Amino acid sequence: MKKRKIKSIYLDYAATTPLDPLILEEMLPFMGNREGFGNPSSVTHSFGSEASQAIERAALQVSKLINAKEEEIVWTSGATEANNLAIAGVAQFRQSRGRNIITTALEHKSVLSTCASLENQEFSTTYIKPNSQGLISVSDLESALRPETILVSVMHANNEIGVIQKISEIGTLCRSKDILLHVDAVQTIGRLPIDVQEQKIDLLSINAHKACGPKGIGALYLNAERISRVEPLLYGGSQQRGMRPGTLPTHQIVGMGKTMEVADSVMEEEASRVTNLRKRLWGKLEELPGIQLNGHPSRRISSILNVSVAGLEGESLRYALIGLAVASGSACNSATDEPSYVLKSLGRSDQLAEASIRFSLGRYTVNEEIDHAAEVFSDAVEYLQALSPSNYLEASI
Amino acid sequence: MTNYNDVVSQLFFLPIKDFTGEYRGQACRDDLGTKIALSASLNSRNKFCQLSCRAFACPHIIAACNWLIESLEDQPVKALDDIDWNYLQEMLDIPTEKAGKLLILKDAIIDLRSDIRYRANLR
Repeated sequence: MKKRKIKSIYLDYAATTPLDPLILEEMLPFMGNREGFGNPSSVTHSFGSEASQAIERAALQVSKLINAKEEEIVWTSGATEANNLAIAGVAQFRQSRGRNIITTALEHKSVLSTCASLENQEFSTTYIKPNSQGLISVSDLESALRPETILVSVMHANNEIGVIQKISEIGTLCRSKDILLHVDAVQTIGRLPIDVQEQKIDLLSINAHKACGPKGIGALYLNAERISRVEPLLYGGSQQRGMRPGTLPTHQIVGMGKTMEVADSVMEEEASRVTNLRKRLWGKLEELPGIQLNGHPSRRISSILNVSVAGLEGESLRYALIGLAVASGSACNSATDEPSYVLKSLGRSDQLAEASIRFSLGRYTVNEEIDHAAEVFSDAVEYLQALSPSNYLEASI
Repeated sequence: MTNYNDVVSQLFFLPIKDFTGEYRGQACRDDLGTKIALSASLNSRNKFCQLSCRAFACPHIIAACNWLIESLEDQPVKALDDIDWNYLQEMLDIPTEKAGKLLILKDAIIDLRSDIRYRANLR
């Protein structure tokens, strides 16, 4: 294997993104002692009302991006909390109507674990399996609906494989049955157009840090015409109509608002540029022996390329990718590794799920980084394939 | 996330020896995701003149394989019985939970020893 000068390349934008300096600049005034530091609930004085106005502006920026109303935004600490609040909040608030929730095997742990927790409270969950390309069949979903189903939760695009689900069709189905639809849009906010009205989405989880905004801030959109409120997860204040009490972090909310405004302005151009980068990367990798693309070839977000390599050991593959900040199909590298449940749900073997790499590209990714990443990856595959005992034993017998 | 020390890094990236000797040893455990094949040749004084390995294994075990084949060169066959496995585990900082994988390498060494005994009739 070639000895390389280590050069770090960040291709893990699906995990988090660097903060856009423009957004940081917007946040800074609210972190100092001059303006906007007041408690946004203390509107009886200018310090508080300044903060409150900044939050209203941010709500407008966020709601504009998804075609919602400002008052339909509930600020949270991130998408994990938004997912918890959406699912547990609806379940508790609407339990008199039914106790079944339908979700998919592809969801983020914050959805799956919340559903599992509700199962301990006598709710039932139905998990829809995707096809081998990671798509959820709308007819499978329709068949799973029961009279006691109160909520369907489907992610817009999967965080590991990037496959985009048919949210509009699912929305139409749910609306026709008067069942609420929750969508985890963490990977698509600012990357794909989202219109909660047109797509008939009732609850939507988003955050800022996947779109070059600050960490620690997210939001839950709640369709005011379809659901008046959800049961809170926390208690102790009347902020946000009691659904999410606690003093609002003005600087982070301002950052999230600006994140959505910037994302809106660059979305189209960035989607096209990043798609080209992803295609460039796949073009350089697709001829490697044993390589397989995970997820639908075209119905995917611009930023995520997930590949597996047959016959390679996952931990060594990750280790050999010197200087590449990428993610793998395995959460850790201990002897008790569990292969990715997302890839397993697509029918991938343990070996393929473990020897998988997710490249996720973003706003600051450039051609040179893609070329270098492809070279490092190709060298690693070539090295580990040459090291494989299978070929060796065949040759020596 | 497993940490790897510098020794693992140096040994993992050693060039692969393009060599197949007359004696072989192998061991495999699918449930531990580890497969190792060793190959060796002996000179007229019954010392190892060349060794090579192939492995489907984690970086720690690949490094351990590479260290072994480097250290056994020019050693008598008996050296296979004298490998200090505790030293190897400590040198490479192999986590306790991976001890089972190291035993697969040990099995491959035992298999190589048996092959040499059987085919070269060395006692």
